[in-house]
Amino acid sequence: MSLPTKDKKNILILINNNKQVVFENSSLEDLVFKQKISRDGVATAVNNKFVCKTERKDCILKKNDSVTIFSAITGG
Amino acid sequence: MQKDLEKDFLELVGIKFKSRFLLGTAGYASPKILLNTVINSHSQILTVGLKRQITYEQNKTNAWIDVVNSSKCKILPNTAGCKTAKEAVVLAQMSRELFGTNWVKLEVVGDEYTLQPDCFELVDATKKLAGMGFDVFAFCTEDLIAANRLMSEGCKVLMPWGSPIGSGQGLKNPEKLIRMRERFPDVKLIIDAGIGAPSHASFAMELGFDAVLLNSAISQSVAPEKMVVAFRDAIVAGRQAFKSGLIKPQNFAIASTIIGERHFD
Repeated sequence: MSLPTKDKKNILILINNNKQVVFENSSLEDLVFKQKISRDGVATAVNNKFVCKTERKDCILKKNDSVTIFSAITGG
Repeated sequence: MQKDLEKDFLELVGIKFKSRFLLGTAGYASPKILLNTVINSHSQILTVGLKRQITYEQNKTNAWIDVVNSSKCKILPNTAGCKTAKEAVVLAQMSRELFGTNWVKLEVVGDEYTLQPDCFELVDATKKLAGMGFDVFAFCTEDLIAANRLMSEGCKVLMPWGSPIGSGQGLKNPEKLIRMRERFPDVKLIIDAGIGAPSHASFAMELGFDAVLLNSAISQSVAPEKMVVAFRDAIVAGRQAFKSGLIKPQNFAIASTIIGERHFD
């Protein structure tokens, strides 16, 4: 059973270099879900290491982690 | 000859293409102009990129990418903006997930002013990506040693620059490009970057290059939907000229009308 929200600790992370507070033990999947980010429309990396879609739920975010989120664009 | 050209496929990593025109999709004024340009190009390969930005659930449709996806063309994602092999490898992995292809146009820039590819980082990234099952198309210079190293590390296609990206200068070093063609007769060579005019693209094809990749010369023109037709036809013309056997330039005149003896004594 999960702890009440008020008892959860917060940690500071970076998303595309912007500061963001998330609950301790949040996964990358949680982050994507709670931020209402398009799950299939983005690719992710944590601390400059690629994290594929299927591994996001096992990727537990830690204090000061740097999450990078990329989207498709036109290109040359 | 027409029948010969119809069978003259461009084969890249085991896939045959009728068109030898790879089209970049960046910088068009609207998705509609991009769509019309793609249609008029007859291209079968489009390049795309990745950007550090978040796509939110409510905005998950992207009109530009929708055009690319609706084209049914083969997608060639680039690693534009990378300065190290490590960055390029991560971006390539992301591209593979987002675009569902092992193809990657590997770009690692070593100089911000000229946007010259960093050959050392390219070789390093090629080795890693080839080991991960990627089909690497390396955006490189005309340097023969670097090209040889890239091929040794598993690169599938070499994409030498004509001149710096977006410069429109055409083929600045044709002699070096000719040497490259000579030294890598069995490697697919695609001229990428610096093409500004249809004549540049035709020249590249006349030199025996397998294909041309273009973006800015079309997207930044006044009428991209028309300009692309000029480039498309120039690429076909250049290829046809190459296949037909161009005469060699000479330092003296040779009369084309053979009259035998003098007309009058």
